[in-house]
Amino acid sequence: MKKYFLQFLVVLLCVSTSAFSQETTLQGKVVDKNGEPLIGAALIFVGTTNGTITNIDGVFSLKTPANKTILKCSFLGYKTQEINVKGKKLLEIVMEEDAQGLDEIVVVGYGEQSKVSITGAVSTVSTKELTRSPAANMANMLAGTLSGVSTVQFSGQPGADNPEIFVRGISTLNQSNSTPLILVDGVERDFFNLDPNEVESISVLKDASATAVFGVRGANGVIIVVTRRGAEGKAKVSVSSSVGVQQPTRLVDFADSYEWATYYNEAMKNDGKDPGFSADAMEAFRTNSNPLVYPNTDWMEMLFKKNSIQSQHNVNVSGGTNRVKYFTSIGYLDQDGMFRNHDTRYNGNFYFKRLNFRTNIDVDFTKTTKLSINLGGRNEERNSPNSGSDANQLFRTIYWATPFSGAGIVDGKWIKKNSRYLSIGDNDGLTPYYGKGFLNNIKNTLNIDADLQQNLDFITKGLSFRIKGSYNSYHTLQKNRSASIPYYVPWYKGDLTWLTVPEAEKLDVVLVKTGDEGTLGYSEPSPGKDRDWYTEASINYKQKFGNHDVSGMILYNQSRAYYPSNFTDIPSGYVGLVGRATYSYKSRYLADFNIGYNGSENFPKENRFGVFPALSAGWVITQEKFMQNQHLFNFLKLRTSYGVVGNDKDYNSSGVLNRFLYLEGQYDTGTGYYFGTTTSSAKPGMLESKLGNTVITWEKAYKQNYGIDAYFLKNKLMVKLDYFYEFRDDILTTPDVAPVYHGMTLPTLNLGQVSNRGFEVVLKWDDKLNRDFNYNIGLTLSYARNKIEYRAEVKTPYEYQWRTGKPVGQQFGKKFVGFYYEGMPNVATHPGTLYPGDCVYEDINKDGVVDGLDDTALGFPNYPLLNGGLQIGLNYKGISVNANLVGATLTSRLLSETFRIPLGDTFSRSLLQSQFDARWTPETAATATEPRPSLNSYANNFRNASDLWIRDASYIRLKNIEVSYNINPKFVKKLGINSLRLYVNGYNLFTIDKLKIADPETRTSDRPTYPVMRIFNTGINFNF
Amino acid sequence: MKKFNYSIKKIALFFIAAITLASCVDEFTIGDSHLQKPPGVDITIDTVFNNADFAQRFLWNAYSTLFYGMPWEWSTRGRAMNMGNFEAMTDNWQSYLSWDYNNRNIYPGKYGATEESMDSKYHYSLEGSWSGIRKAYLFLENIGRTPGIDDATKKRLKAEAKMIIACHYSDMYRHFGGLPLVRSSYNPYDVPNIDRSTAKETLKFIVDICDDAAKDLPWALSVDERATWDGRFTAAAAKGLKIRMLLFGASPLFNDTEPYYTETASESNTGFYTWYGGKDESMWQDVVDACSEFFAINELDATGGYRLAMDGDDYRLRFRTAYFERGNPEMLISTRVEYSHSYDEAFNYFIGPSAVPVLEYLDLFPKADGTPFDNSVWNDSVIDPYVDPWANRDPRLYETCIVNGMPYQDRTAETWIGGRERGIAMDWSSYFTGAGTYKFGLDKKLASGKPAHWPYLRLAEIYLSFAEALNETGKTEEAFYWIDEVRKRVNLQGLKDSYPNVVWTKERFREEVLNERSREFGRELVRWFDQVRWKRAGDFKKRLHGLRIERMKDANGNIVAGKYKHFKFTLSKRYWQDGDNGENFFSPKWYLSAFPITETYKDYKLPQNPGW
Repeated sequence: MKKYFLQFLVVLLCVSTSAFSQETTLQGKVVDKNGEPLIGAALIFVGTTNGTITNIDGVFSLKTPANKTILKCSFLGYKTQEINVKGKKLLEIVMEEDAQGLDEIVVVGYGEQSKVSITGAVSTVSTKELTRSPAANMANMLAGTLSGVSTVQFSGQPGADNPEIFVRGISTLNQSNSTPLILVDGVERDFFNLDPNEVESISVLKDASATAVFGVRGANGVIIVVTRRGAEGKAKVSVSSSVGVQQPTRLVDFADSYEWATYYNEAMKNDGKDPGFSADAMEAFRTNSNPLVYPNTDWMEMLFKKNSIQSQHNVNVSGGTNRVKYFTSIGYLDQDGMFRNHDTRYNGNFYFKRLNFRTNIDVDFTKTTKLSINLGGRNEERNSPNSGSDANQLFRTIYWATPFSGAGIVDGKWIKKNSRYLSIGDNDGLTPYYGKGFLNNIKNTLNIDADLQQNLDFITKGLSFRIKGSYNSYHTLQKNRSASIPYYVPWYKGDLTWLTVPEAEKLDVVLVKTGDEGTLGYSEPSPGKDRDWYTEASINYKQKFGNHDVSGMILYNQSRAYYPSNFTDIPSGYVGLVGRATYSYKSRYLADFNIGYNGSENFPKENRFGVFPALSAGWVITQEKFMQNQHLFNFLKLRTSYGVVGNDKDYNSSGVLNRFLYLEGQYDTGTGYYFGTTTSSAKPGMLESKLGNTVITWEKAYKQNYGIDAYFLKNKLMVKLDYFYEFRDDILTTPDVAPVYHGMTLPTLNLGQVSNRGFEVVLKWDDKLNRDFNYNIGLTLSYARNKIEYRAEVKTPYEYQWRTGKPVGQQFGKKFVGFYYEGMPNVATHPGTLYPGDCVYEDINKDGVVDGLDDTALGFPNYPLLNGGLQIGLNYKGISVNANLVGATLTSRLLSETFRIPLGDTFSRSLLQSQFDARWTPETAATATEPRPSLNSYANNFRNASDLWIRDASYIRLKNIEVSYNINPKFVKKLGINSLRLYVNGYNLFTIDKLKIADPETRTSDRPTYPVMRIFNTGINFNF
Repeated sequence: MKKFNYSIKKIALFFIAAITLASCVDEFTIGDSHLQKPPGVDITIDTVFNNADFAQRFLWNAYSTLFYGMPWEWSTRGRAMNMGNFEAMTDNWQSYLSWDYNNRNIYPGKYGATEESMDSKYHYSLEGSWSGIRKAYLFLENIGRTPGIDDATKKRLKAEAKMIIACHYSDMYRHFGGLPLVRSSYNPYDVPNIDRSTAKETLKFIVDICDDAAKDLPWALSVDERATWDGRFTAAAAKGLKIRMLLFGASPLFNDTEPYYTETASESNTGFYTWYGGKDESMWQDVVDACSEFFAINELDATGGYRLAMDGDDYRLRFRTAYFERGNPEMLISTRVEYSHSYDEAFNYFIGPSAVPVLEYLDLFPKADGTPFDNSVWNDSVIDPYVDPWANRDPRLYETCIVNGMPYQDRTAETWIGGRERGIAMDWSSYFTGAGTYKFGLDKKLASGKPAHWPYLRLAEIYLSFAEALNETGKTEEAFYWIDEVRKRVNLQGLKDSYPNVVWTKERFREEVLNERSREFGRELVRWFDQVRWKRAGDFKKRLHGLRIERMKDANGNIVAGKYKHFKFTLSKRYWQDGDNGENFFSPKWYLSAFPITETYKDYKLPQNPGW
């Protein structure tokens, strides 16, 4: 044993010193096609361990071994070259960029693989593409760039604009159970608020082969984010700074006071009631003659700024020696909100400030031991008005405001309407938040990873051991500052009975103050604390035996998270055992086997651990002899995979994660009863909680994937096609088929099956017309369509009503036929009486009555089935243009509340301009697209979901565009910097869609969101 | 060698670091033991029923599912009918809450079988009655093994649980007719299909539970028990609920020669789910017998039994005590959700616009001596010579409604157009008909912070039910006593003295009993069921009225204090009311609610109610 170690050391020593006298020295320089030196390019004589890397000037010097003459030069992102250097002493190597990156390393679950040998379905995007977008939230940069991923950005709220992300759509019965697993550097973490400058790449694992290793958590796909690391070489400093302007892409367009009142009076007239607005009021609205008593306020104008500022800055440094490599980055984002700050006592606007920092260090302790330490974190500050509820509710209530509910802020005074003169429509736009103070939330996040890799070549060649520990902590501190502010109500002097008013002044308007200016209160809810840790240990093996490449891995991991939302006192945990074996014959035939063996706390002992295997195979046809003489394909690979992945998550109807699903007969304290005559406290109560299911087990996803990777025309064209089919079984759900008289809170059962199929297309064209001009075009298409194969549902005799057989999230409602008119043929009985201008619906079951049995599937689900992206890049000398067009289709929005019901549910809320313009009147009967105004017919016309309220939410939008200019390198060098780039870019610059009344990505429901933003941005980036 | 040792040390060090990093927070475990055990301090059914205190808490929680007639919070039960109430579906009250269930769905005739939502009049699936029934059965099935409670107490507690079942069934029966009869708790894997029972079986089921429960309950709570335990079921509550059900069952809705709805064929009729299949007059005798039994026991009860709240000389206060005060001597069943109501949630809508008295209702209240009010005064807008039509009336009018000029909030109520109560609103006012609601909310200040309850069943209802049943069995002469007793509480003369010229036929007496119930139980959700069980289509169809009250002005245009002009106007039409040209929109299907459509397609037999 000892002897063996000694030999090992001797070899090490030899390698490091390389002091053999008969060698000659080779000197050279490695440059790119522009003549720029490449720093850190690796050079090695094939068949030896004799190698080096280039220095800061791209220069290297290397002893030539006696019998070896083939020098291999490689550099990430460039094509590797092998050069015969026999007899040469001086050499210039021009490296060619490898556009398609065949040699790229792709991140996969618990490791990485070369792109060539991948047999699973994985797509990747690099940081270079992401930093072209000025979006504050990284996840919003992904739109259209990753095949198989759909993102919908519902909100533009600073610091709360996370999109909804699905990988290959939805395959389970519940949308909230469909979120993918997100990992940053291998640990479950949020990446939305990372600084894009600290990210190396984002990979999405889609099929079973790629996700089986995550076993119980992999069913919805996995997104892996890898942060940047240092490379050997002199310190490289990169500084970037940008500033931009945000504007709402679209604001809701409301009717004015005169139109509102006209609509209301029409409704009253149609219902046989007296008008709600007097002729005087109508005239005052029409002429705007008395703006205090009869206001006409455009609340969008009153409350929101046209432009708000955003800026981003980043400094990062990377470099290293052959022993220690580092990357360190500090980033700052400042994003302002869109509210005008009318209350000058404090800043009550939304804003988001984010400081990101990260240091990743890799230390080679010895030639065989490497330790990586990642230290990442961020400090986020979010400010918002103190509306007493969330931002969605804030916008909901702002959207309720009627134009005459008050004059808004006039000369610094808040003026509300006097209900004596206008008794309807009290919803004022400022009431939801104005003068109420603000909330300020500070969140600190700290992520620490320590990762130790030990090469175990001394046991057997190719063996290594790795252990990793991670710790995350989150701390939030909220400050609630509450305040109050007086408002003023206009009165005619003559109506103030306590004043003696001369006749001539009786109609003078005076303002009467209500309430007082309160001091800014302070309260601090108990701070939020969250922490979790993760550990893994693995043994890896990789070896080549002649034409056979084999590798294997066994990994154990476990994690623990504290303070979960349910059973807060009991931390949640996972354990898993992972295995992987890969085999490749001459890089021609590839086979992978992946397996996950996982335990989840949600299941009883007998069913607690599940095995999730996946097999995949690839055939690189271009490696075959018979393909050597063709010139069409540069590369052609077929791949396929099959496997099982699991899911253990079950959310209840209010979005809280259920735990310990097997826990039986849980009883709890509950509502008591107020016995007695004057006893003010209740006798305590106890009750039965949600029942448990002792035989509950995994939700299982059986996934198939078929793919082709091909490169044509000298690698200029890359085509990647994937087809997938997934069958989800034993879905965790609570059925509603049992008779209601059971009176229980039913347990979660394994009931339900969903199939999901679709395809992904990636086309990339990359070409260079001449030395100065090159361009690339990329197209991605992702289609996923699911179908409920089985669902425990109450089935009416009419199949069109069943959820089974339709997509998850299918919208249902009545078929709108037209607006009623006297003598309209084939009108079934509608509840109540139909008057001209009321909605007539189709009697689908032909029973003569329009009722709930005539509800049928309408439109598409809320999430898009087909997503696409078109990336265009043009480079001419130093000028580059990069654009990303994103589209989504086969999706519908069911309008509701503000967007559907004129005057709202209480008939005292807002009216959209479109609802007024398109309303049915006897005159506009032929062209009207909205029903007649009527409160009596509200249940028939507006309460019924129907295809009248289903809107196509397809869109194509210019998500990003960037124009940048690299300033002449020679000039820049004189300033002492390596490169200087100026750029302008934009986000959501234009949109083509059909929804019109709101941004096509936003929600048109009773949870309207902060408007989505358009951003114009300009910045500078330099490196030295 | 040194180098290797170095790295070994490093690895070891790292291991230790990694483990301490993790284990500094808690014990480090690997594999299955890393997965968390469910809560260590499990409370299971055994924990609950092995502890006398916990077991009773379980029953107190079951109590909390009992019906409550007022809104109290924005929850499914707490905001039923979207803050409306079904009193405003009767011919006594009208809702001016524009967005409640009445204005959105009932008045325009938009209600249908598919309309069960959070807002329904009574939820078949959402009300929580079935959950209450399960809780009661779980209690009944498990209390036997609880240590530390003597058998007598257990019997009493079990009887209370039975009453929770009976109350839920009695509510559902009056909204839906025959029901599936649940006789035990079920386990989640094996919920049996229980078909709907006939109307008669369901009635018997409820009555039997009441009789069964009454055996083990004290007739009334003792005086010292009342302070802490008022609200618990008693035998009188059980016998009283039985009378309510027998009366409903004897009424012609189900007990008639033909079903109430015959427009189309219905399985509900042929299967006798909403019809007994014939008329059985002896069912009225059952009511009489039950009432006789009730009063016989009450008479003999050692605690003094129940009696109408008649203390003091303030007739209005007597009446207020009867419906408002917890622990008053006539409260048979009182249900609770809170100690006292916050104004915002319970009262803003309940005593606000969700039910405004209509003129026809105001006219029902006689003069203070009991003689009828002459409503011909409304035919002329100016009363001449001026007599305040709101003065000197049945004290219950002032306790139930806020009328013009009555004392209110330390001043007088101003329900005239422009007055402090009525305002100038063109529509949707809490005083739109010229009057508002006083009952339960009082003048707001008086009720604030007071212990609150819902008068689910009170003795006065037994009196009036007895009178009604005696009249139906031909014993009208005996019936007068029971109605006159109720009138006596508010100092009205007996019926015969109040109406000297009336010939008291069975029909005439029946009308007066129903009117007396309207007067006595305004806003107590009694009138709707009276209208329904007597199939009073005419009351559904008739148009209702209100008053616009204006202050009188003299020739110079100066306001004359204390005098008003009254303009009678017709309220906007409900769908089922007759059209201006006499068109009929009414259908008897409105008497019962529809089952939610999804429920009728489940695997048990639940035929839809007729017409829906």
